[in-house]
Amino acid sequence: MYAPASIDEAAELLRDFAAKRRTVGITGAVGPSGPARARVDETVSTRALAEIVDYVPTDQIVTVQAGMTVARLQAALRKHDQRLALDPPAAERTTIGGAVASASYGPLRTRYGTARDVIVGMTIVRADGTIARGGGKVVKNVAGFDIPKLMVGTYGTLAMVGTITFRLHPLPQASCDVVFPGCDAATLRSLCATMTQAQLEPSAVYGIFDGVSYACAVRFEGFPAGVGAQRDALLALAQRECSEGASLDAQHEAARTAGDVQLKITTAPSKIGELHARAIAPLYAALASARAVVYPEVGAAFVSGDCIDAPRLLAALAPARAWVESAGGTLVTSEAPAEIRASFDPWGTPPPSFALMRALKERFDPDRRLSPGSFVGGL
Amino acid sequence: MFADIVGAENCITDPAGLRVYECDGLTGTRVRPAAVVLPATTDEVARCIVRAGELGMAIVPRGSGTGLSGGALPIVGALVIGMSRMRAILDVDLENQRMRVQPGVINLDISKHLAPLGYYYAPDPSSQSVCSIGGNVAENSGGAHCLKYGFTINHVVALTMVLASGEVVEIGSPVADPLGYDLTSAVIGSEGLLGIVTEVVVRFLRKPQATRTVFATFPSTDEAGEAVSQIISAGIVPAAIEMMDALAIEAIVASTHVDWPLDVGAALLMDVDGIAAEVEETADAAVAILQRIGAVEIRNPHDESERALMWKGRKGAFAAMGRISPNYYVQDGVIPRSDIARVLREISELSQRSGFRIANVFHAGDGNLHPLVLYDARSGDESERAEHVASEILQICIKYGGSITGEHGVGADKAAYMGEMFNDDDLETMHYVRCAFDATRTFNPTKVFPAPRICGDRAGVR
Repeated sequence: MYAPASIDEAAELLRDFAAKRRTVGITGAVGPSGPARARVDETVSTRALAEIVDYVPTDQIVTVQAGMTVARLQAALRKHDQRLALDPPAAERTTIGGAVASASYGPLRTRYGTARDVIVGMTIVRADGTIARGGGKVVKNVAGFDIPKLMVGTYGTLAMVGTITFRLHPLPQASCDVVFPGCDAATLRSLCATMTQAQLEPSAVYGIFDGVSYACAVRFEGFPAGVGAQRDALLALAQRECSEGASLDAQHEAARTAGDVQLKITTAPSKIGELHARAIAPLYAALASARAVVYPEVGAAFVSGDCIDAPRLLAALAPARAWVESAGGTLVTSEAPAEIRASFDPWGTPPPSFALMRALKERFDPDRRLSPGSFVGGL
Repeated sequence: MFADIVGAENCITDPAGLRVYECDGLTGTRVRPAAVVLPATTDEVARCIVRAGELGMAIVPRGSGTGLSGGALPIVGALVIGMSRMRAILDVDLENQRMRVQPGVINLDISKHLAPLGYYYAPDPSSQSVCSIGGNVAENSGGAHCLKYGFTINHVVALTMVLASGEVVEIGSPVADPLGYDLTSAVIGSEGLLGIVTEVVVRFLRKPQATRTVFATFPSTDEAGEAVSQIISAGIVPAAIEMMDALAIEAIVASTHVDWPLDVGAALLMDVDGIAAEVEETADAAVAILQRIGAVEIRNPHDESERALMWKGRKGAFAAMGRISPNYYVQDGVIPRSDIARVLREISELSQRSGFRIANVFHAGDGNLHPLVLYDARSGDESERAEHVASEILQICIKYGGSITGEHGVGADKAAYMGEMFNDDDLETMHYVRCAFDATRTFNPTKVFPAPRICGDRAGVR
């Protein structure tokens, strides 16, 4: 494995690999990942690219190298009462580049969106070893095509992400978690609908499934008066048993990281109830030490656990994906043992615009050397 | 040529009819196209594109024609495809907060449609009462309130698009995290170079509990700029903070009924919105900062009509320049927010050196400047010299690490400056995207990129 210490060095490596026609996988700190692991000749790690390049707190803009972990970046920003409004799981070991390349997110997505919503610029190293920049270091910029946003979620199949420039948000002065135990999936949605109706603005909403019911966690952030007012309004409207202060973050983190199987499922938020019956419950039942979390405002669910009975898991995955895809969503096996990956496409049915995606891949990586075959539809 | 597809009444080829389409909001440059068609359906758009291909015609897509960078400026011999007849709202999904519309739907009409339900569409370009959502997608339009809420790219989740081959593709998804590459991000802001969008799925938002508007005046732009910096440093994210300098105030007062004072150096117009209790707390904190910095006067509108008037004044600022100058050139550049005061001083020096008056109206919260260079086209070579002054402002933006356009686009107007902001490798990478969508360079072939590039059989071939 190679760990270049500068973008120039990375470019030199990729030029060399291009000349030798070697296939290349890009990885963050941990090792090869991605739903379908590519077989590659060479692996380039960003772990030695782990510095903040430029940080201007007054502009709320930071430029960071791809290999810095999310936790280290957040710690540096916290000193200036700022944060990156992106909270992927495993922040201690997830690199910024990895979070961007896998379009990973956490509960803050409820309010702040995904990486594409906070990225303003990027330096990439192309398959041919050319360094190219897109975007800039200002929040507002429409000069040229948005290469930085296009790179989000590409799993190293179009280029290597070198540095990323983000817009930042102020660290909230106050925060409050309200937890409603004993909800069913439909109640998760009705709580969301109640908050929308009351014009409340939670920064995160998620439901932790324990095999019987969901505990719904709602987080309000901001200035103290607003946080208190929102909590009071929610308690008055929900008319349910609740607890305050006890965050479910540890359970959430476990549901997003534990086990040798990790599934991500999306659907329209209005179909969360059906998603539970058709996908979450049967998949949960097919896994050992199963865990599940639902983001009811986003329309996303994550199910994880250990595979101890592969035929049973496969028998649950197929109908779950069939229903999810028929409802316009996706079911991706972000992590799964080789025997599952061998007979169940980690991604699922390619979207209608797949021909354009293939054309993009051909332009960015004409020799198919960047993690070939590992992306959607075998790209 | 196209009458059999769109009907004779929607196919314009006579010189008088074509005159309307000779330019967009960049009125100084005019080109007469070969023909204009106004299709009514995705299928008609596709058939027009195929026919144009058979005839070897380039295609220029056009929304409402309000763009300020010449994105819809015709090209000699080209077919202009106007989307003004595709104005239907196709579907509203209230629970999932999604709405599917045709591209000719006017930006403000989306919010008007949603208003009785208590929802709205966030991006609000100043031209929102006339600009189309298709044009917004092409330009990745922003507006005053994108400081807090983001741009078109943050609010459009799926598109239906016709490619150069006439093929109709669905891009993105109303559901979160569609599989594969984020083509929606590639298409939004691509300025009509990749294809023609015929349906747009937007995400809409619940109206905030409360909005408080504050108007403040200052002795000079220095204090106003400092106030913006301090408000944002205090952790407040206003929905919008707009700055106007003395010349801009003069023009706005002359053209609207606002009673803003004329003896000040700068004014700020700020919206804080969100949870009622938080709005009170943060607006009070912001007002305290304004006072501490040395605001001459701070006003709170008494009611919604006064607030609307203040915003009408701001949003009508460009047109207001007509009251104080025969002609004006609208510039659009971006700088890091912390450099506002320095850059304004440089623009002021440029104004003195060149002899041109320059008014400044801009989105101060995100450093998006709109300097307006005032000139008289009847007087000698003033047009060209004014344009030169405007281009020097872009050089200042580049020098401070900013952008040559924050929201108006590159279009025909700024293609020459792309090479100053990006190097050849950067531009080549963008060109890959274009080639993946439109290898024949059918759409808007002369726009955005500074020099002609062909799409080779494979990437890497220049």
